[in-house]
Amino acid sequence: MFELFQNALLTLVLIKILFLVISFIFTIFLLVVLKQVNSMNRVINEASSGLLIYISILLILLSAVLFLTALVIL
Amino acid sequence: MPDIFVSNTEPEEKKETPHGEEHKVLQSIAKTITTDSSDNMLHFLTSYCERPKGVFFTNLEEGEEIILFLRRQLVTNAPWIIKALVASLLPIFFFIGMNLLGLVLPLPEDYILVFTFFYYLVVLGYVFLNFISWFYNVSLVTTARVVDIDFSQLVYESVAATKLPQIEDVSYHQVGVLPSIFDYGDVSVQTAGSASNFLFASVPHPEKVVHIINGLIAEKGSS
Repeated sequence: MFELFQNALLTLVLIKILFLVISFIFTIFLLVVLKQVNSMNRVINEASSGLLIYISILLILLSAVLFLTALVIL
Repeated sequence: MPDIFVSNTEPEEKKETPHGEEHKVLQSIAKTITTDSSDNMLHFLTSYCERPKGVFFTNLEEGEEIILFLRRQLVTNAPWIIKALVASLLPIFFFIGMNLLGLVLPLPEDYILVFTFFYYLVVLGYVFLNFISWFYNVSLVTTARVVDIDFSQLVYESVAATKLPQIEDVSYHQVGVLPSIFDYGDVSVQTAGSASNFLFASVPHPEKVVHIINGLIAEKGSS
């Protein structure tokens, strides 16, 4: 019984670590997206280009919040 | 004394060759485009705009003016929009199915919550990535040249331009049911010499685009 509980706990910890790694990589990926959006805005700029920067920053913030939430509550 | 020979003093009517007439028509098209100022405000989802206001691109020369602003027709985004919609509905159906079958996921509730949140964030990322791939794939026709800006899936970025006198041939292809319904097609611009050819893929009103470019070339050739 104790072994079963220990195995379940170990699985949950592994899932948590895996999730933290994936969400961290995803946050880095979104940072690359922001960099590319910024670079493309220099190539072609129009009135609504700025909005895309705000959206990508929002996505990065959401991803960072998710990473921290996973770190704290899981 | 009657005149034996009377020279014809009336001015002869200038006979225009078919080529000259076409030249004039094309010039008039170019003039119409350059003088029409209505409906030239760019919106977030604009895919076709004549003489757009507030658009700047790298290497825009002094006195150079953007005549045409083109993106892929909005309808061409349908595949990834449908995929994103299906993907966003999938967890809902999954949880409903689990409830109906009486199955329970062997994970704590907070795990499920965080995973679902992450899943939707990935879907949002997918939508955003596809959107910027469409948004930054821009073709421009200016008073001096044709510019093609390509951006694809974060890893591919290219800016190509050719001057109007270097253009040899402009043609368009409109094949399929959807292109006919929504009036979009591929415009190919062939350039002289070793310069690369341009393909404006799935742009709206391809016939009009070809006419405008031809008009600008004619105007450039006459000046």
